[in-house]
Amino acid sequence: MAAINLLPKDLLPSAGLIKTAKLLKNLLTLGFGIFTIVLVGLVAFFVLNSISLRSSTARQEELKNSIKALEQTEQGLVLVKDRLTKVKEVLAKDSGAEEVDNLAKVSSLTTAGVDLTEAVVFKEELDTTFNVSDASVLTSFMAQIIASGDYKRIDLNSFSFNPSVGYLISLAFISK
Amino acid sequence: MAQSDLSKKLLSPNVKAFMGPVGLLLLLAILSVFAFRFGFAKISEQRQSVATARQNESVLSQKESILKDVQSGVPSYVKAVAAALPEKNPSLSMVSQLRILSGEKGLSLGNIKVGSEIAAGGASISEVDVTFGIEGPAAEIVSFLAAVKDLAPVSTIEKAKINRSSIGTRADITLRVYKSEFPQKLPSLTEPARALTDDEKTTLTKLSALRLPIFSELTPQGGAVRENPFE
Repeated sequence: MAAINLLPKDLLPSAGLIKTAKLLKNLLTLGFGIFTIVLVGLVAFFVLNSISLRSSTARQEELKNSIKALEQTEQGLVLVKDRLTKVKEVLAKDSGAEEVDNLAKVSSLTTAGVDLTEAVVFKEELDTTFNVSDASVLTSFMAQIIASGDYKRIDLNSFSFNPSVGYLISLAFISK
Repeated sequence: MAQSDLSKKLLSPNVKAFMGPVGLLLLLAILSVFAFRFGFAKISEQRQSVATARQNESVLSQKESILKDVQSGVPSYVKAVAAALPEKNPSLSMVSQLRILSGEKGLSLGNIKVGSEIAAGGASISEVDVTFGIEGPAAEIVSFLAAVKDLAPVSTIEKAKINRSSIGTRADITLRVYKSEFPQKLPSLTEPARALTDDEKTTLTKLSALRLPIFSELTPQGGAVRENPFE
């Protein structure tokens, strides 16, 4: 049986409009679909992030407790670091320690006939006075000092001769 | 009557056919704007929290690992560094060290003077001068001076004057010793810890090789019964 539409024609929307409305309905269905998918995605992402945040917070608490148990070690490490920084500063200060090493070296070069009568250790210089019995000993002693090559500069501060004691020489050793 | 005609015109079949989809489209648009704006803001805030939490976790984990690594060595390091640069005036322990060293070298130590504490620049380090005289064989005096740098607390030789005469050899020496307050605060729990650098380890090895001062602890004696002098 054929369908009969008894409505007057002016009460029906135009055919073009019906098509457009259908297209809009399809678009709406697609839009709602996309909206739902995105919304579900966002919620899933939110839930996953929440789980991750909760587990990270729990791990942090665990680590904090473990660190608190190691508090004495931490105190020690902080102290060691603090001392090392300051000791480094102290060790960088000028000291006569190097000049003392130089004095030990010079003393080891003294042979029979050479007497170290006076030595003054400063932070940057070593002043010495030697009493040398004769010229040949003096020559070999000076040659030994020069051959050692340990000093940046050697200043001859004074040189004198006394027939009763021999040669008196004052040398300043500068190694810095 | 006129109103009914107008509504009829406005709600013509064309309008009616569009009203449903357009209304739903508007609803979808409004919902999308609210949901996405709120959702994205919340998620971005949450992602930031996760990133911060992960960063904190990594810092804490690194700190725990550093502390566990040094745990066994720290007590000996502390002993070495605290002896090298003490918190309190180190002149007394230095004098004790000098006495021991001079005794070992067969030298006689005397005329000991301790100066007053002076603040040495910044970095909260103070210095004290210790002046003394030693007598004995010249070679031993030189050896004594060379050994001073191996003593804890750390010191610097300010001046040493050695005189040799017919009576013997005498040296007048001025050493400078240093002290500094211990740190009072621990860094916050989430502050990253720094492991010892190679340079620091080298300095630590040097300090560990220093000769530590010997401290003896006196045990308290029990009170003895005093005799009555009037009986």
